[in-house]
Amino acid sequence: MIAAPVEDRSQAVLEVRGVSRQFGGLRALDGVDLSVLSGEILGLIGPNGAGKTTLFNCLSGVLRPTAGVILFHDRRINGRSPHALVRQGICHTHQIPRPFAEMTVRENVLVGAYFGRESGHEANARADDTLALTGLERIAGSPASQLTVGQRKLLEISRALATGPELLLLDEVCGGLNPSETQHVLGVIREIRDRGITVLYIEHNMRAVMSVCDRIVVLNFGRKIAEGLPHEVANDPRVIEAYLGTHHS
Amino acid sequence: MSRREAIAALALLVALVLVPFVFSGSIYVLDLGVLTFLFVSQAQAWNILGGFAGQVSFGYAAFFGIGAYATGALWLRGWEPLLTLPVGALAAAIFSLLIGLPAFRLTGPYFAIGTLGVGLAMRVVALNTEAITGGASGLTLPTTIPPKLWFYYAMLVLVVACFVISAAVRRSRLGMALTALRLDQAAAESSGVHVALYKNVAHTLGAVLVAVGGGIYAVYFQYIHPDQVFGFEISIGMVLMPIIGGVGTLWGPLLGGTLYYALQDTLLTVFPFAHLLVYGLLLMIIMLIEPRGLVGMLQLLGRGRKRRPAQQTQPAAATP
Repeated sequence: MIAAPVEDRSQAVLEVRGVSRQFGGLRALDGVDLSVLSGEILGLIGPNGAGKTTLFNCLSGVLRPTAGVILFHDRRINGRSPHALVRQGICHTHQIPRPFAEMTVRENVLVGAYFGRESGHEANARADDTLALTGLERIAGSPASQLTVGQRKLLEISRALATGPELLLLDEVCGGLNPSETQHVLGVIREIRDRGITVLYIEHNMRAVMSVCDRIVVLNFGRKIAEGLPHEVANDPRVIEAYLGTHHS
Repeated sequence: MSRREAIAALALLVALVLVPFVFSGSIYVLDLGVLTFLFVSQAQAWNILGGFAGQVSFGYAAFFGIGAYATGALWLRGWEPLLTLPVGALAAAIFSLLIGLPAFRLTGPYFAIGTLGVGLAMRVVALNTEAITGGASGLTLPTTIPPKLWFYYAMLVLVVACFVISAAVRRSRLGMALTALRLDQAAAESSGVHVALYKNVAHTLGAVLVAVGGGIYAVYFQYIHPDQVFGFEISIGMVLMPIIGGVGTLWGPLLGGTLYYALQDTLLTVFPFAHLLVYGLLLMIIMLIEPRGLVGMLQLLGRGRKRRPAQQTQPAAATP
């Protein structure tokens, strides 16, 4: 509801400096630098195997970077566990939704509300508020095991949002959705941003990324190859090359 | 806990309080009561971690033995037996953390196997620390003990404590965390649940309750031996009872524990060791027909063919 003040937009919430991650002999991330600015939706794209998910996992606390630093408001957060990051205001969704199957939709969201950053007496109200935002309030009482793919993705977002994050990390929340579901989810993401929450969004679905993101960072082979506004990135020769390959005559 | 459940629990409690008077202090009835309550309390205590949180531990005999030996050793050094119970509980709490902190880095069957090792190792340790445990000859304790009626009520108080604590846990923030991490540990972690912390809290809570039972047991029998109090049967029993009754439910451990001891007590005189056969059969029937144990079966009967709502009980995720 409260839009982010304009001056905040120039401030970096999250800074990634020279982050690398090695898996045995494979360098999945190779010295990536990027900053996420307050109040923006930053898209993170790249071809398969570019290192998007590895970077995402480093930011969400699932993986520890082998080199480099990740700063959240100038505080180093490498190697913090996911629950500790949630307490600090960074929450992530899972690419394949992981609802608590035996709970109702509302109970799922309540877990996020109770154990999140602003846990406490207002948890119930925040859960309902979140369900209203994502449009799941109609099915709040349904068992989470009976949801469609689209509803599961929204539940994943709702539960993360209920933790009261300052920075929300979204992992392919439009993957496998039909066009109308995609439009709805993109609307929800914009609404989240308009409430002053910064969003880092990893997505395969190009059209979705281009339409919703304020800025885009492109990874390929573990390195950042481009960064900029959606139309700049889309016309960048290096990006086109990464996706389509070079032209051999 | 619903209103109806609370009334049922109170009615049951009143009946159990009156039992010694109805049977005019029959030694057999009192003895049956003491041991049934002991088993029920163990089942309830194990159920907090094993049922609510779905972390199957085969090492809970360690806490029973620690409770028993803390009481035994201090009693022999002149302590009042009742005052030794908190010491045993504290010792079990500390030991449960020592075990839990590394063991909870494991999940699922790996955690179960890890705790199995702890349970078995404690027996060997106790056999070899003669100064405290009396080693292989056991510890013979003083014979000046209160009447059986005292033990009947002492164990009943323990059962009530376990029941009330379980009911409170289920309603609490702790209960919510345990349910969440049982259903999906990664999702719980990314929703802000400090998974390791809550597992340790549940583990320690169960350990303390089991240790108190071990202490009362030591006074009751006036003799403790490592094979007995650190026995593998004790650990296995604590896993079987809640599963037979309904793992993760409030009433399951109560039903399971009662049936477990009743079977053992009846069959041991008629057909020794046949109770093991019956446990095996029961376990198979439960796994095949209704993983929520006796509680689940009773609910099915009660509702006839109506569909059962998913939220009523918390079904077993505990089968490794």
